[in-house]
Amino acid sequence: MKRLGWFGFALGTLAGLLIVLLCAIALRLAPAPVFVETPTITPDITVFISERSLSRLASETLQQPAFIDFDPDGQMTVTTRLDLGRVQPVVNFKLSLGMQGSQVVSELHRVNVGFLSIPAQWLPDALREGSAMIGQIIQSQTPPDFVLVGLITSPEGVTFQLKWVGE
Amino acid sequence: MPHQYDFNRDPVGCGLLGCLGGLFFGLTGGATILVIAALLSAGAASVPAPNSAISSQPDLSLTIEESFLNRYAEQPTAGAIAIDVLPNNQVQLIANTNLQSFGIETPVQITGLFQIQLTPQTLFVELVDTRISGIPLPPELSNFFSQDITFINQDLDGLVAELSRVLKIPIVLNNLRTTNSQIQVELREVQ
Repeated sequence: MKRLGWFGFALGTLAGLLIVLLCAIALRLAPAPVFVETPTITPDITVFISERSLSRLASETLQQPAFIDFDPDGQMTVTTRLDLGRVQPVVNFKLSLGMQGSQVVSELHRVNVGFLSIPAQWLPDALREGSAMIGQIIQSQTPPDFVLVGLITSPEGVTFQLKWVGE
Repeated sequence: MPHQYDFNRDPVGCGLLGCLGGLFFGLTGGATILVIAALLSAGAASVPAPNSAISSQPDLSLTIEESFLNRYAEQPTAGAIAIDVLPNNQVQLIANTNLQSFGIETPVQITGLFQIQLTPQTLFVELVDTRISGIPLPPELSNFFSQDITFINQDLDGLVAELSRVLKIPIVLNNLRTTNSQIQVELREVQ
């Protein structure tokens, strides 16, 4: 019966679309890694830098508009336009930023293209390594004679806590 | 003559085959549609501009702890100096030293009260009052801290220049607050 075949095809198509849709939703709901460490050392100097200043610095570095959005628990989103030839989609890079011991670590956990969320492990290594560089750049900006003892993100920006170790 | 499958003889198999084909079609087609739709929606989107409407929020703020200033200023060879941060943008410097008069060394405590001043370009300190063991000194004799004031003001100038260099933009100082244990400076970028 050809009719039953077509019915099966329609049912299969529907199931396939439903699976794709559910996978897309499940990818969006995947939890982000969090590097929350309560600072145990009292800082000597606390520096707050606003999202506005960091977005401007990022735009200058990338030489195109970029927006950095911070959320609590070390969550950070970098929004910029990617040049993929015919299309230039606006892409959100979702990163986690925090302290592991005395080191600043940054990890890309997903990239959002429109409503589509792509996990970092599906992306090229170069992109993940590039994201890890953010932590190293922050670390390298720490003034001499100071060590970073805390990093707190908030919707307004990021706060660095420094301890003086100079003589 | 090639064998032809008779769909009428196995309707369940035919339905399953159709279902499998449909599933494959739905998965590949759905994924393709999803990627194209996502790219189109992302292409039409714009990069949000940083919110410059929040005028009360500083671009940069710096909080310095009193305990740090005390450790930083500690100079064992020159005697003990204690820094006491006070509210209303004031700082008190207490130096314990010995004064020699008529061949007798007398321990004295010299206290200098400073007002931290803020201009858009820099921070600087001004001596408000000097006392030796609680007795106020006339202004013409209160040059005990003049060298310290020069060094402190040079350090503060350097600090503002360093912040401007890191942010790669001229900045202005727009607020200063002190508590009993902290000095907080707020800065804004020059647009």
